[in-house]
Amino acid sequence: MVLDRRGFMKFIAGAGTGILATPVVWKFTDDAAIWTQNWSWIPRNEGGENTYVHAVSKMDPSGTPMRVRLVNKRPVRVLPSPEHPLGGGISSLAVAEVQMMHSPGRVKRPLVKGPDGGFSEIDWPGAAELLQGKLEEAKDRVAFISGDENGSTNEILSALAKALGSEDVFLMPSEGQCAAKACELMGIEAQLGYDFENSDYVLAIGANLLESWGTVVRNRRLLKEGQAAPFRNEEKGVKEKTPVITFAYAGPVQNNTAAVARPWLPIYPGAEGILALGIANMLMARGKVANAGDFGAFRTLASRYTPEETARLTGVDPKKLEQVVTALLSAKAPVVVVGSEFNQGSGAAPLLAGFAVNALLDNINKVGGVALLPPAVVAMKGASSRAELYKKDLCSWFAGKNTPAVLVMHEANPVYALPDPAAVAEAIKAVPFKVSFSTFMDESAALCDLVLPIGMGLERIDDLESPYGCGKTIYCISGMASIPQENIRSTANTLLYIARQMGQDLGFELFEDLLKAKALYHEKCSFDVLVAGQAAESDALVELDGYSLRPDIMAKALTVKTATDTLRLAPFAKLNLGTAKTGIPPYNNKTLRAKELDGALMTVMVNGATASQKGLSDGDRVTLDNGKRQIPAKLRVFEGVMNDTVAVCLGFGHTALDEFSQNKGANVMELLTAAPEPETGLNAWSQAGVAVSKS
Amino acid sequence: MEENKHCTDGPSCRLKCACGATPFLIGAIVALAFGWWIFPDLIFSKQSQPFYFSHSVHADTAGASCVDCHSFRDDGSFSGLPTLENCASCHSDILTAEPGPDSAKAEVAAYEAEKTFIEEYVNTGREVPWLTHQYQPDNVFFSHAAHFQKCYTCHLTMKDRDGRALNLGAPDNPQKLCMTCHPSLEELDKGIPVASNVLTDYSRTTMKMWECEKCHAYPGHFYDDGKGRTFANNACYTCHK
Amino acid sequence: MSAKKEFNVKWGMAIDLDKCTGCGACMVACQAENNLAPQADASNKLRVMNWLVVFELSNKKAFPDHEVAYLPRPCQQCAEQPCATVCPVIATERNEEGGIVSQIYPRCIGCRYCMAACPYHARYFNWFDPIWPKGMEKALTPDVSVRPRGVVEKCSFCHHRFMYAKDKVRAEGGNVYVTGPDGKKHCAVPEDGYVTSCAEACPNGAIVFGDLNNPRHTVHRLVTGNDNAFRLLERLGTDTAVYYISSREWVRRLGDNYLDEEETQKPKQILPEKH
Repeated sequence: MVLDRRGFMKFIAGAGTGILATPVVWKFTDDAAIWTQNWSWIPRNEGGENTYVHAVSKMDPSGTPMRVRLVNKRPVRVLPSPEHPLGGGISSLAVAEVQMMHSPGRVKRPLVKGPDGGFSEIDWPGAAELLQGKLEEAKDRVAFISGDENGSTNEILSALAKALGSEDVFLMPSEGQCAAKACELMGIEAQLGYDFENSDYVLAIGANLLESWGTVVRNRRLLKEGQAAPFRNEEKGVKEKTPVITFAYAGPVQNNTAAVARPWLPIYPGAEGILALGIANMLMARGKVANAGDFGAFRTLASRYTPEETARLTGVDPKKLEQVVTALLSAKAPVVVVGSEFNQGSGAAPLLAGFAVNALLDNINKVGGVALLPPAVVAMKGASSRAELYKKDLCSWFAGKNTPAVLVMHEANPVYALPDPAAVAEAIKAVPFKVSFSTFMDESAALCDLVLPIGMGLERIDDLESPYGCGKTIYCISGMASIPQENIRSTANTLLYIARQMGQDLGFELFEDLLKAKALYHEKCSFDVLVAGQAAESDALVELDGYSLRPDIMAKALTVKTATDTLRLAPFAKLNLGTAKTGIPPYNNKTLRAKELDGALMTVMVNGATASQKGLSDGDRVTLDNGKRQIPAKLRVFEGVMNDTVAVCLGFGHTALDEFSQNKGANVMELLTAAPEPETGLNAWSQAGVAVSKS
Repeated sequence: MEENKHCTDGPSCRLKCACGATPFLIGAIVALAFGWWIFPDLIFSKQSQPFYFSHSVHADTAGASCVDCHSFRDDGSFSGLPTLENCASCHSDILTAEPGPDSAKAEVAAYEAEKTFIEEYVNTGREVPWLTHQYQPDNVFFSHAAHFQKCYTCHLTMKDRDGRALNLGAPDNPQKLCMTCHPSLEELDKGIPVASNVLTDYSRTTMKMWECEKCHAYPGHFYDDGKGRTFANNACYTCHK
Repeated sequence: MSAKKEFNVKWGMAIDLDKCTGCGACMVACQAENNLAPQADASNKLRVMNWLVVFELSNKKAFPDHEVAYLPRPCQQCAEQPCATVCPVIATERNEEGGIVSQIYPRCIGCRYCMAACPYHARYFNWFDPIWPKGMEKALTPDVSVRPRGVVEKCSFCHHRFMYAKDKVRAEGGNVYVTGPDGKKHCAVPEDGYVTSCAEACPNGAIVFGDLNNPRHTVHRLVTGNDNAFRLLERLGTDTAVYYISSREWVRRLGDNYLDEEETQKPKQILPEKH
């Protein structure tokens, strides 16, 4: 049979007809449609058994307790842990922690800097040997900086430093340090705590209580539990329910705390201490006294701050202040918290003034007032207590041009987080050998000669003891929720190993042994119970007898710089932008509003009156200049900013880490300069002036 | 015109020049054969399990019940395939007797399979990469709990995937219900290959919406009958995620 | 347009704007729960996907009388949906007990009519393929399918959590729908058994989730007869399931496009009798 063209065409026609009577076309079309919905580069769901483990965030400065959901032992979500004494909901930083574990900014393996300035891989034993050699060479010329003020790793740092003959162990500046210094000056051997759980009126002066100050999630839980939902039904005659707890806030920016505070008292940045003295004066005028040795001198000092004088210096509205003082007096358990909008740099004097107000309200060691917590325990021989570490001021040390032979940083990013970062970077560059134990390749790690990756809180065992702000002694241990994602070791175990190699016996072989020893101090909870997520709590308080209010220091340290041609700079913190050690977590990037960040340009805020006074308008590109350094920004007219003040958000301007943190605004710390606070030995940088001009 | 000329040449010519409907029919038959017999095999890849597994050995010989390996977790989700930990709770060591020279083929196979399992998975701690005969894509939320609880209350006979009747009998004999979607135990014991679509990666037996709708779009199932029995709504979110 | 469907159970929210500090924890919790991919540059909000957005509200007064409030906006789960009625392929509907508006990604053809129709801007189009930084896909949940480029998506009130909650009831041998003491059908899932990720995350307790029709649920008590409660653009008649609460008149005024001389409406005038 010969197949000619015609026959072939017929064959094709027949095949065509036939194929339509089979599933080929329909099935293929259907499959092709499905195929286009399941591209190989789109991740698939991977199921498995759900399990939950408890952990405490080591990334979030408030130590948020977390319940981590694992699917097939793979962590996928951070959920709240409401039963925990520090728990409630979940903070915007801690909630992103599982995803942060896979952040591109992570240090994946130990890195050593070569002579060409580039990093190359090194194995852990090699890295330990290198560090050991440098430490042996340096002996007492070793310094340590820790960015984790609540963990026991500090005991190992300080014990090792002591063994080497060095006293230079520093914590990154914090609210806790200012409070500890205030206690020290007053002669109180305790950690300041606040029993918000039983308060009915909380006045926060400066302290961004509901966003970034202290035990944030726990503070905010009180809003959930304490404040009944406003309910109004005029026809049925149901009156608005009185909230169980009222928050009032005084600060230069209408920040997250001010948004729900009743009322918000606008004041100039850095005027917290003066406002507290003004309040103290008004309380004393209504017969309140404190039982302190130098109360007479304090009365003399505070009487200078009449309502008129306070209003002049702080910019507060006297009528509103009067209302707040009346509310404080009529509340059953009022408490006043003085702090900084950006959790640092206020110095100790404002906290002294705040303590004086609380003493006048007679709430020290009372239910719903200020709690004097026993100092954190020390389990390691030769280690410094937290109070001892707080005494050493990092900024003064940098300013003193001390150059150690070896600088070891643990979870600290001073090159980003300290005032005048460029100067800090220069100081660190001058150190012959610097090491960073860091989870992320941050600005400080990038300068180091040796970068050693440590785990996220979820990947390591670590502990947390009474973070600043909590109302009772709390100890918790965070077990390993996840298998490590990278080639990591812990700072603690690495240093313990190095110490052993150097022939130094610090008393513990492993970090876990130290934590077990610490757990023994907490009678009710065993180590295993603590690892399982329960917190050891203690209501023990330090008795208050014989203390001074230190008006002598307040008189010298509490001043308000009056701006002339410059605007007052009000930095403020938002937890969703991460911290100096985390950068902006990848999942948090979208929470930045269009009004906060425009491409790579961040927004700074002034109110309408100030803007027109300076000839600026909304949307202007401006330069903020402190005389030494300039940062670019976009101006936003936001009426929730104090007069003559420019508000700048912290957390922008990362140059290291990953693409989620980089190319976003500028670092406000560039505009700040640490200056010694008179008499206290601390540095303060909460009052700065900047010129804002169109660029 | 040319065609007419050809066709007047007689019967021999007719054979040579492939006139009439013959090529058309041949084409149609080839296409039908391709479409109905070859194509279905072509679009499914055939893979075999990492090693032989017999349900009947576990159920009959070892006396395991279904829920020892496939059960509902406390949170209501269905465990599906057992994990290594689950298997290793019995198989920490080789349990099958070592076959002699005159052992039956099945015994040798069972021994070999267990040996592989212990050596390659239990000893290394690696999960067995079991292939799934029947699974639904990511956009489907299939609730085993809902089907287990509900279908039974009324339907004691159902059909399996090939249309054969399954007598479910008493509700304490649930494995037959599984076979309305999954292959039967006999088929699985025969070691049937796991077929998945080469284009979409879906399993051969992945149910399409029209199949789900046989029950879900059945009007009698839409509304609550007051006894909580029927509530197989046909809303999109009943099955999709 | 089909007639409005009423259900025995109506999942809904009451969001207390006097408690919201605008921290953004709910937004992050939502992204992590529902597998939304991060974006390195998220400043172009027209291209950013957020099922839940926290908006900043201002009373527009000059300093020092300025007040600020924050408004989290999930999908409002309208009983009269502007979106579902325009969808040419029925990829979105409200047909299931509970009243959650579904969005079926494999069915969506990406025409974006629904986005144009939604008065709340609650719908988002996948302009880009969802790509995670290498390794971060390990942190995806198994609960929500990852959507490819070219389809529209939106908040589902964490519908998968409802599915799991129902399964839990079934595994315990119970019926999902039971008759309550009021003689009406209610969901047997306990009030804390099904909570959206945002409501769960909120440290302030500003978001309360539950069955609006169940008198035992907090959300029902919060919105019933509360003159401080309002819904967004109520006068459009979308009959949403998300209520907002604020004791501040200026906040309530921003809930709809009121003329200067108009009084804000109280929800009882609009609420169906069922509530």
